[in-house]
Amino acid sequence: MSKRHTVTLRHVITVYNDMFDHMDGMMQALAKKTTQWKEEFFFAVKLAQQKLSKYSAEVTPLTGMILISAHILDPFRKLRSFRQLD
Amino acid sequence: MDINPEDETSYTTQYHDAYLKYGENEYCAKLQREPVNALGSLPSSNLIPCPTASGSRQSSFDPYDLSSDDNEYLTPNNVAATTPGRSDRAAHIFTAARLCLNLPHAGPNNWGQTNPNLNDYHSNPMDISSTYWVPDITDWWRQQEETHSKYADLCYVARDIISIIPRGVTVEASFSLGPDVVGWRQSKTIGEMLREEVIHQHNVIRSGSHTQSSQTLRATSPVLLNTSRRSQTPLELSKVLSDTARAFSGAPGSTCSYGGAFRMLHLG
Repeated sequence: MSKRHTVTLRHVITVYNDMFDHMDGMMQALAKKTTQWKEEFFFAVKLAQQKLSKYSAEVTPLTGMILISAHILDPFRKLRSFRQLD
Repeated sequence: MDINPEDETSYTTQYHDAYLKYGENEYCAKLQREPVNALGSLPSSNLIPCPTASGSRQSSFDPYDLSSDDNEYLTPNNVAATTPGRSDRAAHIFTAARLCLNLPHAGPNNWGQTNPNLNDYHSNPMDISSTYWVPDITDWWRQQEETHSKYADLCYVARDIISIIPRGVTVEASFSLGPDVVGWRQSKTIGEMLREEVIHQHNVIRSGSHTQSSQTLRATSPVLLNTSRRSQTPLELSKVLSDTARAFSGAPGSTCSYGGAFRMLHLG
């Protein structure tokens, strides 16, 4: 995202969602693995998800309204990402 | 207003309302209220002399907004009655924001841009996560402004918001290493260069600036991050610095290997 030459603020919430989806997929795939490095990897992904949740939780209308507004002002998305939460 | 997960209304409705309220507070309200500055209450050095404004007791032009103060806008005594033009524009912005939300989202197919990845296996042009190809919304908003469409009044709001660099947002600033190293201005610095800059900063600390106060230290390495939070006294701070110096020089007993990494980067 940092290499793009266009506006990228509207991607932030999408990137958050994609990272959560990716981590969920990884954790589902690794949940029943018993190999040691896979268990460690699962633990690492879990910690990363917790860390990301901490930052993501700050994107609220009280603190992250600029991000939310930029996301909604994207005419090709508007409120579509938030409908997935319902 | 905050999002409440236990609220019976949907997330969409809550974000919808929060967005409209934000637009109303940030843009419509500012347009509706025109502050009247009492003569002599502001430092004259911040203002460009304007006889017309002074004579009519309207706010003087302040090009850098140096005289702005939140209290000035919040105090009812300083708020004059709104002018019809400003009120109309605020109403237009609010109406456009509401209209923009209620209408379905635009599609790139009926706007004219073509997806360069349309022929590959990512066949869904709106699947953002698959290709991250997205139409340039700045062009879309510019087009709305030039054609004087129903969203024309909302263009100014969109231009203000989407032009913000992501790392400038408070929530994202804590996420990013970039502002600590390259400052506010947009740059093309790549990740490797950022890492090298961080190592260079630590090397500067090592090379003799032990007299720096704790305020000027920017703890970015694991060693500094873990210890500087605990360190409060100058004695402990100097211990941290010496530990970092040992780490950079690769001395025995050091707890990290930045010295090796630094040599690899600079000496090949």
